[in-house]
Amino acid sequence: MRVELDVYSGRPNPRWELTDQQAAELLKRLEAAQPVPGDSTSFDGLGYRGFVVKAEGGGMGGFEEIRVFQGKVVGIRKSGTVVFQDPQHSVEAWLLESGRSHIEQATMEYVGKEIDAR
Amino acid sequence: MIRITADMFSGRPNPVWEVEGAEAESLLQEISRNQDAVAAMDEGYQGLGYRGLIVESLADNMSSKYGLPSSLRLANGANAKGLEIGDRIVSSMLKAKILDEGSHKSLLEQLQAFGQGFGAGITESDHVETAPAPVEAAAVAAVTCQIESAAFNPGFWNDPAHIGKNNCYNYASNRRTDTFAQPGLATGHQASVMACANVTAASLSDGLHKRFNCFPASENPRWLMALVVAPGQDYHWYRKQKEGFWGHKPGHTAARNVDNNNHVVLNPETAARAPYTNFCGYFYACKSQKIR
Repeated sequence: MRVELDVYSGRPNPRWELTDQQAAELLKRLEAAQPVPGDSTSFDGLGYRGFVVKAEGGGMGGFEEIRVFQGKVVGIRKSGTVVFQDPQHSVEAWLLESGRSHIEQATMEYVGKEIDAR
Repeated sequence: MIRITADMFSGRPNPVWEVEGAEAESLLQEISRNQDAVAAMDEGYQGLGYRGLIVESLADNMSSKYGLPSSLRLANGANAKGLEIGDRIVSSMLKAKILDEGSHKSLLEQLQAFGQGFGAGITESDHVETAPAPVEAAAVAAVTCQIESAAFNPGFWNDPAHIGKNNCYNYASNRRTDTFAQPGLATGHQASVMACANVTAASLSDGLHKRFNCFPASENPRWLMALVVAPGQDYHWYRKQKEGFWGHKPGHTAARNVDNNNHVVLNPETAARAPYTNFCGYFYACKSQKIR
């Protein structure tokens, strides 16, 4: 599974691969999340815009892509999208931590504050 | 600058020729004078083998300047003038060593086949006629610099084939290189520290000038750009548009003219910019800017 922290404008966003153990942990967190009706929240301005997780072959419970932002986890597959609630922003915080060795310190601090503030 | 692709292969990459300066101007003028020869990207023969020449503008003001779409197909139907222009392009691609003798011969044969009726029945696209961008003057103290500005044209940047491949530096430089361009990369002076001084040095290395260090007319188009930095993280650019506001493109997201509070950007120094807290200054882009 490949994770992208969507945060930069000029430079390429930080990207990293999850280990098998981390991928299993993420799936476990997703399975525990509650589906909710309604649309996802998105933001496409300057600054933190969330995480995008991709896996080839639909290896994420049938989802090809997962977007995580502002307490919502959105699973995207060909048949449509499913929105899950992540009220404590624990998936976002966990994903940020999984990329610690790939994210520069200033960005780590900035995104951490953004997640806590929302 | 324009990019011409001989759309002919299925497996391997198509031959691509990037043309600039007088040669590009002359070609665009000729295509503009022969709008009947222009086809939309999805028009004409789309099967295996030669499918026409794709002409793409790498700047968002070209279509209005010449009344042409930003991407078009040429010489993929029976239009005689289109085939004549195609013949000329293909010969230039051989001279520029973009095509080898074999591909050149094959292309000429295909153009001839179109001229004899193969692919007949295709429809030709309509064209849009709009006025060229005016020149404006920017002055301060005793220095007056002549600069240019282009009309806000987000559709050129938000095309799904290009939106993820171009960033704020591409947008502000008005060069859709599809490389997610980085200041200083083309000239070997990329910034390793995200601070105003470092990104400024990288950008000047690419050929940009600080504001009021004027460029001559030969460097037209000279766009006005503004640089901001998120200290230790990233940089961001804006470009002054003909309408008076500023346009920008945050990373892979859509080009827009509003800030993080959804207000039209009339002043990049006071716009809502989230972590891009440091305003670094204004710059001019230029024709000879190196960008990669």
